[in-house]
Amino acid sequence: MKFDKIEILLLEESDKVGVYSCKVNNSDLSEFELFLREYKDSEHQEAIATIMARIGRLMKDGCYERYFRYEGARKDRLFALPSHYDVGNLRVFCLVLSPNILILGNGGLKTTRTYNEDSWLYSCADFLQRLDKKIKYFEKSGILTLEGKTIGGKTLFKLKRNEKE
Amino acid sequence: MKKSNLFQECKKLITPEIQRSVDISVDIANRILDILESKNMTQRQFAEKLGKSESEISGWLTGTHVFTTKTIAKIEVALGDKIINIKDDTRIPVVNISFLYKAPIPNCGKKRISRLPQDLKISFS
Repeated sequence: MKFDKIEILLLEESDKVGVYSCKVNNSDLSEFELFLREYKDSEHQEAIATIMARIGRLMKDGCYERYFRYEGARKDRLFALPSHYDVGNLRVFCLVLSPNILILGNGGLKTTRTYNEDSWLYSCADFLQRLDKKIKYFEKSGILTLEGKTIGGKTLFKLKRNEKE
Repeated sequence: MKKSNLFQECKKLITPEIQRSVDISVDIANRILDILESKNMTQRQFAEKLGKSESEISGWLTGTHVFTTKTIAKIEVALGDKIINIKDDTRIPVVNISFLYKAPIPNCGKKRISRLPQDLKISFS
């Protein structure tokens, strides 16, 4: 059984919202930053700018679920943050833990009908779903807390790898 | 808090037009939601009125949809309320003012006048 080392870290915060991402196996960049690096200098730069503007607006208003596209199963908190439809079909996956806490993951171009049909997008979504499960377990155990816009407690841990990938 | 450099760098890609476009779409979505709530109308009823699927309406309400004026008109008719209010009082009245100053401004010479004399009287006609 293989595990990945996960570190949840704060990227940005406003009065209302804490925007987090996570680093996997001591990577220099978090999952969301890897997404940004992949697309920021590409033909999808406008889509990246739009996603950044949307994150800015979420930080101002609060992370209400209606602002996201629901992508997960009923039991999880997986959502996607799409760019505007007029600037391409780039989307980034995220966990909306509360109206005040957002964890941004990785993502990419959606070219298939569902993300399950795309191995990369599926892996991004699956990673966040496993992370969500772990966070929920830690919340129940009281070793990780969600207070206001802050994730406290155990933010460094191991996550079981999906062997099927 | 140590801020992410890449995150900050990408924030700089946001042009005023992109920010405005995002804000308008989110504001429209919020306005539709407010009207639905005030009229006790469900998203399903709204979708039926427009002849759209519920998932399409749900997509609109994420604030990522780019609405055409035609769609906005259809939504306004279905909701029986305005979602965009364009001010019609933007025409500022223009008043032509002319006056004749008959006395010389004391001690001004060729210097620039920074202040008019206190006893200057201006009349409008």
